[in-house]
Amino acid sequence: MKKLYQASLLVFLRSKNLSMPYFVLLALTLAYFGFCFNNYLQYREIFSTLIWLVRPCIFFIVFFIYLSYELTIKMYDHNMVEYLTTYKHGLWKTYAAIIVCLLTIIALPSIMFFVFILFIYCYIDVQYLPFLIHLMKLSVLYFGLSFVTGIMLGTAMAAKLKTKRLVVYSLTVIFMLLNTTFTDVPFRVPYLLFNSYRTERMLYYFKDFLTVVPHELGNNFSVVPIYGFPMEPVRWILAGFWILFPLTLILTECFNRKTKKALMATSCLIVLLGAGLFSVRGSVLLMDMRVDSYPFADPFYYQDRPREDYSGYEAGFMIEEYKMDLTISNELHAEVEVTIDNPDLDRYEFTLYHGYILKSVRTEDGELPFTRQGDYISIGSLNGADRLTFKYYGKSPKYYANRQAIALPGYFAYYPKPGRMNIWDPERYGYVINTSPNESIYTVHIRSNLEVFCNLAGSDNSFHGKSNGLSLLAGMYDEVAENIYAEPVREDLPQRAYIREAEEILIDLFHRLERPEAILHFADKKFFQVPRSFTLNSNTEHVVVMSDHITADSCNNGPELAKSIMESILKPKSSIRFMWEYLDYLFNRQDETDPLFQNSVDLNILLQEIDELQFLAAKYSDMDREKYLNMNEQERKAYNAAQNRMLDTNVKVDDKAAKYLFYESPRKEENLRIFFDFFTSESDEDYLELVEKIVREELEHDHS
Amino acid sequence: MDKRLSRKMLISLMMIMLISVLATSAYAASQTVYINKGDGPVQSASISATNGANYNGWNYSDSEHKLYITLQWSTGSGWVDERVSLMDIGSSASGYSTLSGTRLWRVQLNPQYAYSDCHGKGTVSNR
Repeated sequence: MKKLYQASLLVFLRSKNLSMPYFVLLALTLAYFGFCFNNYLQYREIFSTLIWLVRPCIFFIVFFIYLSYELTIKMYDHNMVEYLTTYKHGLWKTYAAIIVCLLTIIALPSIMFFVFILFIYCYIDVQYLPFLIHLMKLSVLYFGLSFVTGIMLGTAMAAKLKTKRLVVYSLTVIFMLLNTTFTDVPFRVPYLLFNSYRTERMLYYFKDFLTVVPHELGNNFSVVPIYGFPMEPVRWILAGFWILFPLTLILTECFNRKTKKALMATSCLIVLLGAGLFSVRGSVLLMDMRVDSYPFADPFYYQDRPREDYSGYEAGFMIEEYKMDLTISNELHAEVEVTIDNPDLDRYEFTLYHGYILKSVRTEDGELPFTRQGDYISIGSLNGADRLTFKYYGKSPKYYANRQAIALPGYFAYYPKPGRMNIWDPERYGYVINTSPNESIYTVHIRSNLEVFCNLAGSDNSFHGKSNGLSLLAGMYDEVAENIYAEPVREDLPQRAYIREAEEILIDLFHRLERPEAILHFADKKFFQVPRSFTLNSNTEHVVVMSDHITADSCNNGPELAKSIMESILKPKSSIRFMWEYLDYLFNRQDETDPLFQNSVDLNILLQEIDELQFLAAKYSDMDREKYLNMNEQERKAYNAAQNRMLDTNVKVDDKAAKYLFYESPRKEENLRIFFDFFTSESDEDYLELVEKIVREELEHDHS
Repeated sequence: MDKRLSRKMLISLMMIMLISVLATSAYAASQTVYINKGDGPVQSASISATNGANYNGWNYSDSEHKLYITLQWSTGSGWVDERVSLMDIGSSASGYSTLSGTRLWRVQLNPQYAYSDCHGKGTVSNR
């Protein structure tokens, strides 16, 4: 065996078409480390550097497929197999020697990556053990097991396909493409043909099964520090599968009929086991263009359904107490007991995100019938009972809960909330902040391999307290200062001083606006920095202030935080853009180098533009897609021209109106106050009508 | 000799112009990109900012499909998606990022399902 190993190594070293590219690859790897290190020195973003390190991983795997295939195939090229089979276990021993030889070959680059990652960790000096463990796992999965997968696939293809190089290299190319974002476009073709997402889902299912580099080449999404690189249990299971399955295929070539049959059965069993475990993978971070990925699943889901507005919905009852028993394994499994304050209603409605499958609803007297319609659960009379227990499991593509990380904010319906609430706001393009109307008492027990951080008091994943929302976060996450929780690897760590400064700024501002009743006290609340990716597909989650804690995607400084908190208080009405302009002036953050500031606003032109906008909006107020399609060519041209004009004029009007009302006007403080009231009211008035009214009043005032 | 000199001057002038155009575009306060029917994904020129960026997008009514608008940043080594919105036909999207640090920002317009029948506009601007 030792001799065979040495012979295999010698064959490899003497084959210039194998050893030369290998040594070139090693040299290039060293140069690439230099590039990655330089990247870190320049930008000081560790995850950006690690993404660069992971990017060429698939090329390494493909190279090792080539290497292992070409090394193994030499046996067949030189007709040695017949000779080897004359010895007892001769072929098996030869395969074993080749595999050990190949493991030696991949060990060198694997160790190089491991050492470089360790060096980077020491250099950045974070000293955070979970991050070190994450990096070690990254080395093993991305630069260890995936390389082993490469050699096992190459050897298995040599064993099974022999000298059919065209087939082998075609399969290799397909395998490589499936491990990149190349599939984004071709996988959309079935939708174009059949107008159904089912085939796309199946294709991605197949692709995921073949994915050995979870952060694939071409992926533009950033890696969030709380989660790190995707390394959920299913990724390890797949790595194991793609090593064991080719191994059994190789073994079937080495043994006689009886053992061969047993090995065939074993390989079938491995396929079944692999596919079975894969199918129950649960909550997995999917960052790509597919229809059920993190960034697009909910926008797709809610955009394609008729929307009912539940903003004024009255549940008729409140939840006084929650008792939660949560198990977070591959996904969330929950048993939630709620105590309600009004047991005499004929009908109870709850909101629970549609990704959670409700198994049962029961009271002390037994199970209750319920109907589930998307995010809503309807239950009839409780027959006097005031306690209900919901049993459910499932996942959300965005608010993940698995063995790698947990990100469940208190404003998301991952547990039953009273009444009907909208989950998604298509107008603001973001998740609706659904906190409870009252503070409930929570008793929470969580079974998880992670240390969970919660807004309530407690330890060892058991918490108790009062709040209007329960936030749970875990992963590469910690208490970075007293009552401040964040990802220690992130550069921009929140500080209590920033939060206090933000509170002071807002108190001054509310006094300035003469609205002291709106003053918020949040400086002493627990602060949870949520992953930046929360705002990747949502405009509403920059900051959420709950009764006992705050969640925010960043906290770089006091003024920025104050502005974000103010934004979370305002309702954007029909123009988000105008609201942002309002905020800029309110916080004195206007850009005075903008050409707009070279001249003062001509109010008459502004009024003309507002009139034009209102005229065009009224003219096409009932326009929809169907009406547009029924227009003739000339009408369409006119409509398109009007629409372009409206868009351009709208931007101009927003800019000018905001500049005049909140910067130039002698009554600018009053205007700021009027618009604060407008943005915090439930009024349906169009902001342009209000702008017009104020501008006309000021003009009249000037004339008189 | 004269001819060679003038060619050198011409190249130098062109280089200066190119550099100034690139520098101006990177430091402009806003950049706009249009997507027309027949176009695949299009990107705006980039702007430089230290405190994040705003974006606005419109998918005109004569588009045949929804349009993605993506706000992207770069620190010189590839573009990273910071915000993504899916714009329905005849609708708009707006958003911003507060990501600090010196970065280049741009917007990308990308028709849904790899179609090339969208008509829209995207703007990236300083905060």
